[in-house]
Order: sequence, then structure tokens, then C-alpha cells
Amino acid sequence: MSNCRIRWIILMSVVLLPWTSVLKADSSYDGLFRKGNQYYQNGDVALARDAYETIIKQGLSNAAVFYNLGNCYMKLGDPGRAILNYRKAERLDYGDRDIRTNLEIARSLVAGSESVAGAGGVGNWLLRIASSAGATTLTIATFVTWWLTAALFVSGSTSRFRRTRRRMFRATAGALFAFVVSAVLLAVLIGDREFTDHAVAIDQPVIARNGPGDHFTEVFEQRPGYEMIVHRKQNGWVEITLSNGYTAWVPAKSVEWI
Amino acid sequence: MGDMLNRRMKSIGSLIVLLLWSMMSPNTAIGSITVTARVDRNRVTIFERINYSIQIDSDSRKIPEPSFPVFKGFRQLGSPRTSSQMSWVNGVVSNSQTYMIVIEAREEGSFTFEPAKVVMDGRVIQSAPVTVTVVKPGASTPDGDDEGGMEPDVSSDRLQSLFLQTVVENETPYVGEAVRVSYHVFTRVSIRDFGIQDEPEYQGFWVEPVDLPAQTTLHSRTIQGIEYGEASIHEVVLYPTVSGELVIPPLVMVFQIQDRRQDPFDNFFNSPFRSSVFGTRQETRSSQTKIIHAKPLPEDGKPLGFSGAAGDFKLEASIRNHSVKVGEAITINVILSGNHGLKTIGSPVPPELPKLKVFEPKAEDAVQDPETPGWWRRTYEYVLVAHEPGELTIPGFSFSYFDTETETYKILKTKDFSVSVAPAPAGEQPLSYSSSGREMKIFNIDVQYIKTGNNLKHQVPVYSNKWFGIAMTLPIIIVPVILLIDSRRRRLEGDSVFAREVRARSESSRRFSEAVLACKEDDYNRALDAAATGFSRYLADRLGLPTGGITWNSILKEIDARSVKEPIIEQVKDYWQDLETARYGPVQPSPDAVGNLINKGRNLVDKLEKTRMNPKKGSANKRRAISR
Repeated sequence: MSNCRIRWIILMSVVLLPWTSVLKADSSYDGLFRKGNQYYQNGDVALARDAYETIIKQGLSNAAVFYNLGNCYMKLGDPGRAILNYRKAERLDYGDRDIRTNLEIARSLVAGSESVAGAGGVGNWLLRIASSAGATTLTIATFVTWWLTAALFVSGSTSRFRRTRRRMFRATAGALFAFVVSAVLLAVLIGDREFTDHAVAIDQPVIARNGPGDHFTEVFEQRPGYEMIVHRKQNGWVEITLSNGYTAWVPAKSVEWI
Repeated sequence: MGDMLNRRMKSIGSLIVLLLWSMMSPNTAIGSITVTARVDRNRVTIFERINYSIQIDSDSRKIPEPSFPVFKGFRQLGSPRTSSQMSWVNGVVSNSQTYMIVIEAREEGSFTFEPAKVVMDGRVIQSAPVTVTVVKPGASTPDGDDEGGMEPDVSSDRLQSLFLQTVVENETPYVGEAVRVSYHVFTRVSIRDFGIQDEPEYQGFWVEPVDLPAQTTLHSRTIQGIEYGEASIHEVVLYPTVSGELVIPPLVMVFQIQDRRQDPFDNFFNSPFRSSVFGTRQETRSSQTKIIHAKPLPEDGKPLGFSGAAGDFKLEASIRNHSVKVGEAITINVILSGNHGLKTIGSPVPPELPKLKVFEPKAEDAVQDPETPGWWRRTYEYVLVAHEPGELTIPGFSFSYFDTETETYKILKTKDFSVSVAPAPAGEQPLSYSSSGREMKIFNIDVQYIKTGNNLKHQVPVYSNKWFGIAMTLPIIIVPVILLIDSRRRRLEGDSVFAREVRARSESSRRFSEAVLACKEDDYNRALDAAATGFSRYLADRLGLPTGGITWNSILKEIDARSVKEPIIEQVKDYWQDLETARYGPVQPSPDAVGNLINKGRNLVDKLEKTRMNPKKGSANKRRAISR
């Protein structure tokens, strides 16, 4: 066998080996997912839930899995965990109507459950707009407007005709404005999702207190499904803020991060 | 030093003599004593509070404690507070001790408190009895204070430099109707701070607190010719829950008053109960009791589903989605607004919807209506889910209330909505669930579907994708590159000297390639000519010399004017000399010598390519002149 051929085989092995492992991993997820769906359709919701949970524990983050898991919890009468999983699914696929509808219905089952904005004032207002547009739309808009700005600027700069150049620069200004708007909204959304700790209350209702301990004064009762922002953690307690602005401390085990 | 000691001894001696004399004086031995009992007001309304005080004046240094009477019809609040004064004028000692207690009227009628008693040296000294009349709120006072159109209605016995007044917006409301109660302070003194001591217990009412501005502003008011500063300092909205006479108890507030008179002794002697003599003092005031007559709502014409709301209301509704699929949620927002806090009333009633599942509405907190001052608004979000496809008409939501203006029941209804329900996509497994109240139950209603399919991929938000980062970075690199290329293109088009410089290498390479070809064809003369042309044209292009009529002398002259290193110039000269010799010499060069010359020329061009040929100082303009 010539040296050239050996090199070629080694190169192809190096390139393809990681892909084979990925494909293998994905196919095992698919098997579990199909199994979970089968359980669900047969009415074995608890088994279906376990299958979806296994997929997630293995490290796969997928909107369809979170969505189906949310449905399982809805059927099992646990709207808190259903909201948690719908929120996770929503983050990955904001445009999906099924996810948004089921999230809306799950929230309607829990009085006081609403999404919480990390920012206040203008930040909150921008976040509302950004959330209604969705991360995918904003990412695409930012990408398109950025490339459009670059293309128009290049066209204007390289044009030999003054009139064309002027038109192109005006169009560049418009595209740049659109880019800035979409980039700011995207930045606000990323800031809220990546740098703000959102969580959902799970399990049983717990008493929220004005300090990190059972001896502090009761503030309100936190029910499963409440959505909140977590500020800090101390002695097994977390400081949270609800959508209505109430701030209190609850046991860390009573909430799960989105 | 001795004088000072003598004077001190004398004054101490005088003091001892004075003390002995006072101890032996007849007043001390006999001990005269008077007891006076009084109240700050003799006529009060029920639940009002008054101060009952016993003052004991004596020429004795030691005053015994008095015994208080039984306050029938009143409730004693707290223990007595005491203060004392002692003076010594012209050798006569006068001692005064005052005991004060706060009592609250609990029954109507005229009450005479028995005399306060003091036992001293076996003698019982008693005060005169005190009579207090407790009347119903709103009853006229004997001195006719309510007459004369005074605003607000303040009886004379309440007119002090500081007093609280209860103002009730409507004294004959219907059950469920909002009654705004505000507590006004009237003052002629400077108030530094105030706070509620006792919040009244409003029995028979549902209470809603009203947020007042943090900064209290006094307005000028004249009552019986006296100018007061007036401000509302506490407000509540009360909703009677039962009909009949309902009591609004007094509000007790504590005020920190800034004394205008700064003489501490003046303050001290004028008011024995002041807590401080350093410019501020604490005063307690209570407002008067009010009685309102809550009217029952008429039974006639009471609509079905009436939730007890009384007042004035408006109802609006909007739908979020007019077309849905089977199992998808239809969201209807219903906004109820009214001159009512809205917290006590039930939600609007959804219509009968047999083809829809109606979830319990999610109600937002009531907020002030920005469009109508004094009104509140509350949004109820109803989620409905269609069971089957088709065109649906959702009848309006209704809300019934008792209009207190017209004293009739009214029913508000929102407009109907049309909704188009499309069939659910085929092949998808429905999720069946629903809710009853807050309890989850399994229903056979298809709401949504689980997601099926293969090729599950690990998803990350689009913005986290590395390709997005690369795609966003690319224009930052590409745009400057394009602009540089364009700039070069333009220069090549507009600057012929620069263009020749740029093309010099490729042109010479072509000529040298021709020379190599000619060499292979054994045409050595042509090869030498091509090499010479290639080399001379290269230098002419690099130096910006005109190609026509180029001579070796002109090239050398131009090279000398450039900042080229001497060894390179020497190499150029040598090579040119070799070429000339080979071309025009008497001996025909060997094929190898021609090949060497061609290679040497190529190498020299490579070397020159790396050499800058900038004009020397003083000849800078020359090249520019050529390029033009």
C-alpha cells in the first residue's frame, strides 16, 4: 500500500470518526424518544416521562423532548414542572405555536404564574419586544441587516457614479439603523436569557420568607409554577423576585433553573 | 482663698437655717390640700377618647396617690401618666401633682364620674364629680356648633390648635358601594412628624387602603374665624358588607409638634404632659366617630349571577386570535372598570359555551384607570379551547351591578366574537387534559399534541451557534479587503506609472520565458534580444521611464537618482555589460553562457523586485513629473 493511500485513510478516519460517534449518539436518543412517544400514546405517561427525562439527563437539549416532557407533567397533574419544561422548549424554539399555547394553558392553571423580566423600565420594555419577536427571528434579522449594511456600504464605496454612491450610502444608513435595532433587541434577549437566572417553583407550596432561614418572617406562599428571577444563593436558600415584584427567600430545592 | 471659703460656709449655713425654718413652719404640719378632677371635653361621641386628669395641689412636699373613680360607660386605655411641679416662693412651698388617664366612650348617655379621692393624714379629700355626655355621632351639640354653615362640621369642643376630623364621602351608601373615608388634620402648630397609633377596626366593612402622596401638603382653611392648615393624612375606601347602622371608629394619631416658643421653662409649666422640653413635644389626637346608614340592595330586579357590585362600571372585551385549530387556546381579555376598587367583586360571567372548554380566568391586579381619574380597571384573561372544527360564535361576557345613581340593576355585555376553528393536523397524537378549578383532571379534550419524528439534534439557541459568530465577523474582514482591492484597481486605472510598476515583473517574466524558448530552439540571438528587452523594459517600468527610445544611459542616470544600494547598481551595470558583450561582441556566446545570462537576468529581476526605488531627496518631484 503506498504512503499516499495510507495518509488518505488516516485523514478520512480522523475526519469521520467524531461524526460516527455523533450519529450513534443521536440514534440512541431517537430510540428513547420513539419509546417515550409510544408509552405516551399507550397512556403510560409516567414511563414516557422517564424516557424523556433519560434523554435530557444524557445531555441532549431539544425543544421537542422538553415539550413532550411538559405534556407528560401536565397529564400527571404537575403544572409547575410542565411550565418549567415548556419554558426550556420555548428557549430553544420560540416560534413553535404548540409550545407557546401549552405554556399559556399551563400558566392559566397556576394563579400568579407569569414570565418575569430581569430588567426594569426601558430594559423591561425592550425585553417585551425582543421576547415577542423571538431569538431566532432576531438572530436572523441581525445577520441579514448586518450583511446588507456591509454589502450596501461596499457597493456605495466602490461605485464610480456619485449619484449611485449617494443612494447606496442612504440605504446603508437605513440598513445600519435596522441592524442596530435588531442587535440591541437581540443583546437584551441574550442578556436576559444568559445572564439572568430564571427559575420555576416546583413540588409543594413553600413559604417565602424575608430572609434565608425558617425563623424569618413569612412573606407569601410560593406555589409550584411560579416563575421567578433568582438573585443569589445563601445557606440553601435563594433570593427570588416574582413577576409582581415581590422579593423573598425560598429554599433552593423548591425551585429549578430554566 | 480664705474669703471664698468663708462665703461658701455662710451660704451653706443660710441654707440649713432656711430648711430648718421651713420644716418647722405651720403649713407643713397642718398640710392644706385640694383635689381637682377634670376632663378635656364634657361631650363626646361614642368611641371618642378623652383625657381625665386629677390635679392635687398641696403645700406639703409629699402628696399621696389619688384613687380614680369607676368610669362607667367608658373604657380605660393604659395606665395613668403623672407629672409634678414644685415651687418655693417667699418661703412657701407649693407642690402640684397631676395624674392623667385616657378613656374611650363605649356607651351613649350621660355619665357622672364619682369624685377622685385622696387620703392624707387620716383625712379624705375629694374632688367634685365630673359629668360627661356621650352622644351618637352626628347629634347636635348643646352650644349649637353645627349651625351656622361651618365647614367642615366641627364642634366647638374639638376646636383646638390641633385636631383630627373624619370626612365620610357618603353617609348613606348601599351595601357594596364604595365609601371614601378620609381623615383630615387641622393644625395651627408646626407638625414635624405623625403616625397612626390605633388603626380603627372597621366592623361590617370590607376595607381597601388608599395610597396618599408621601409628601403631605397643608391647605389653608378658616373655621369660626380661625385660620388652620388642613391636610388629608389617611384615607380608606370602605365597602359595607351588611345593611344598617355601621360605626366608623375614630382614628388615633400621634403628632410630633415643633414648639414655636423655645423657652423650656415656659413649655414645662404650661403643659405638664409634654414629653420633651427641647422644642418638640408629642401630642395624641383622635378623630370623631362616624355612623353611616348602609342601605340594603333591593331584591326586586336582582339579576342572576349578581355578585354584589354597586356603583358605576364599564365592560370591554377583545379576542387575541380569530382563527385556531382544534385544541388550540382562544384567549379573550375582558376589562372591567369602575368607580370601585374591584377587589371585592366577582369576575365577569362567561357565556354558555358547549363547544368550548372554558378555563378559570386569570385576573390581574386592579390598577388606576389612566383614562378616567378615580376609576379602577382590572383585566381578566379567559382561555377557551375548541373541541371540534367549524365556525363558532362566542357570545359576549356579562357583568351585572347595582347602579347607585339610578338605583336600578344593570347588566353590561360585551360584543360577540366569531372564531374559525380548523381541524387539527392529521397524524399527530393529541394530548388530552383539562382542569377543573385548580385541580388537574384528565378529560377527553384534545388540546395539543406530542411531537414525533426522528433525527433528534442537540439544539442551542441560534445566537449561540458558532456559524452565527463567524458570519457576523466575516464582513469586518471582507469589507476592508474589498475596499483595498477596489482602491488598488482605481490606482491602477488612474496612475500609469504605478500600473507599469505593478506589471513590470510579469512583463519581464514573459520576456525571459520567450528567451528560454528561443534558447531551446537554438536561436540564441533572439534569446539574448528577448532577455535584454525584458530586463530593460523591467527597469523602465520600475523607474517610470518612457518605453520608446529607452537607452542604457537614461536608465543608469535614473537609477543613480534613486535610493538604490550601490552593490545592486553595480550588479545591474555588470549584467547589462555582459548582455551587450554577448549580443554585439565578436564572439558568439556558447548556449550555456546564454542560458546563464537568462538565469542571471531573472535572478537580478527578483532581487530588484525586493528593492525599493524611491527618488532620492531633492529629486522627489522628478518621478511625479514623469508619471504625469
